[in-house]
Amino acid sequence: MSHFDIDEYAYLESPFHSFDPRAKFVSVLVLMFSIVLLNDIRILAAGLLLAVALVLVSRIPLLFVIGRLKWVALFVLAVVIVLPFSVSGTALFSAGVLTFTKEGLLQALVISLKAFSVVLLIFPMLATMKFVNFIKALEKLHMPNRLVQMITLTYRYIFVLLNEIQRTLRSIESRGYGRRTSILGLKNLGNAIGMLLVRSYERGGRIFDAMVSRGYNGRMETLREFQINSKDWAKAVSIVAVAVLLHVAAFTSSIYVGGG
Amino acid sequence: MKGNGKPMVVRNLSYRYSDGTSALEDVSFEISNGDSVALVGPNGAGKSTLLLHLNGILSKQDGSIEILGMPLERRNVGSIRKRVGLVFQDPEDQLFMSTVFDDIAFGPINMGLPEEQVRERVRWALTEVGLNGYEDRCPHHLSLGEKKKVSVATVLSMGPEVILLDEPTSNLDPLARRRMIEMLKGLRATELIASHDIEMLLGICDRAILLDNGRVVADGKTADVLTDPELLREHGLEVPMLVKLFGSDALDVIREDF
Ligand SMILES: Nc1ncnc2c1ncn2[C@@H]1O[C@H](COP(=O)(O)OP(=O)(O)OP(=O)(O)O)[C@@H](O)[C@H]1O
Ligand SMILES: [Mg+2]
Repeated sequence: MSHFDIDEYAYLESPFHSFDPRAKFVSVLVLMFSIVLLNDIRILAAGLLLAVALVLVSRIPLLFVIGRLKWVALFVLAVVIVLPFSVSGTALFSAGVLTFTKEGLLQALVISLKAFSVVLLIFPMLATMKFVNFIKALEKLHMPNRLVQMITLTYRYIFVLLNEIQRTLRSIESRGYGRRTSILGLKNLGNAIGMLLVRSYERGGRIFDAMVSRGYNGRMETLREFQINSKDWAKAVSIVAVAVLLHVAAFTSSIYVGGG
Repeated sequence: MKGNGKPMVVRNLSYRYSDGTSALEDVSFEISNGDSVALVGPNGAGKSTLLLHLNGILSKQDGSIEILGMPLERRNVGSIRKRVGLVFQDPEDQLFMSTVFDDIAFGPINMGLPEEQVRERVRWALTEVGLNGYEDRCPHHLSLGEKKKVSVATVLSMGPEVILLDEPTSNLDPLARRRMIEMLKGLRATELIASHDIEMLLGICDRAILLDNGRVVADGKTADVLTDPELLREHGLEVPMLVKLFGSDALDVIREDF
């Protein structure tokens, strides 16, 4: 099993790591929304720089971040290729029936900037706390309890399930079917997947029994309130202030430049 | 408490799983207050099935169950579960929260205890199973034996009057097993312990119920039931080495040892 550790970078020390999970989640979320709602390309560029700066502050290893950004890049690349040709406007050049427009290029840039900024911000927001604390933050922020329960149980049992899948595969292999693509191999795989489903279903039942036998009544609650202090407030207020400032800047520049 | 004051009275209990497997047939027994009773029998004898009944998880199809003076029925099941704790055979089923602390606190929180008491109980339960300092660990990173110990703690923290344990010593290393045995001996609750660890049962329990094929085939003093090589072998079990060596004197050796 690959040792993917969801909490790998949750134990570093940085202003983000010491940030109260609730305050961090809410304030960074506000910043994300603020960036998504911007349309001015220069302000968006500033937003991207800001996101990079926050990643640096969070001390999450850049290699790790870049590794994850690959997937965003793939998506963005598709947009950058398609949009300039599909949005109508001033033609920059044309290739056969396709015209490459300035408006399309701008829109592609705007979308890429937003995408990269938001994804970058996920790192200081989520990778700097243990996943458990993220779930708790959601709970303490009064997210629907059903949702909290679903995330809790998923987080708890995803590893059990992965383990079971791995064991099943191993037992198929050890009985000599390997990963050969033969009819017999496929049939075995099919059976194994079926068994896995049945087992998961039954486990679900037993977990529910265990919950009920300890007084479960539809809600899942935990203790450990987070302590929010003045530093947390200061950080949260600064981040929200920056989020607002981005829009103030966008607004004023649109007045002076006359529509951007 | 009304009736004869027995915390557990089971009469003519039978149970058939939906696929037709008959798991319990005409099971009857009583347990007195404060007793520690062993539940033994080969794989598939119906031990787990029986325990699941006593906490109202499986509902009886035939017969009657009375727990702590209350008939086990829908309207009582909530209050019975508050007072009867069940440790499941597979700790993976028992531990469903994302940290050890939250798991042990789950029962007390649902009982509506104030926060300070919840914390106190978690601390106490962790000490009982010897896992202080494990509060923030995630269950999926624990060893099987540690999971087992935490499972027991999740039930201890509820302070049950009756505690049902399904294989409490499986996967424990010798030292942990010994600690578990000492802990179980020290509990004041009425205990019903299903296990294949006969030596442990001899050390803790005064009485043993032997199940096979869903039927009670023997019910008596542990010293009689669990040291009878003939009886045990007939039902797919084995007397512990100590008993083989020392006969009925083994009991004193085991008791002293734990
Ligand atoms: N969910 C189920 N559906 C159908 N049959 C079941 C189910 N659970 C158990 N059984 C069957 O009921 C019988 C009693 O099972 P039970 O789990 O109570 O045995 P046990 O005494 O606890 O065994 P072990 O020592 O292996 O834990 C067995 O024949 C088993 O196959
Ligand atoms: Mg069992």
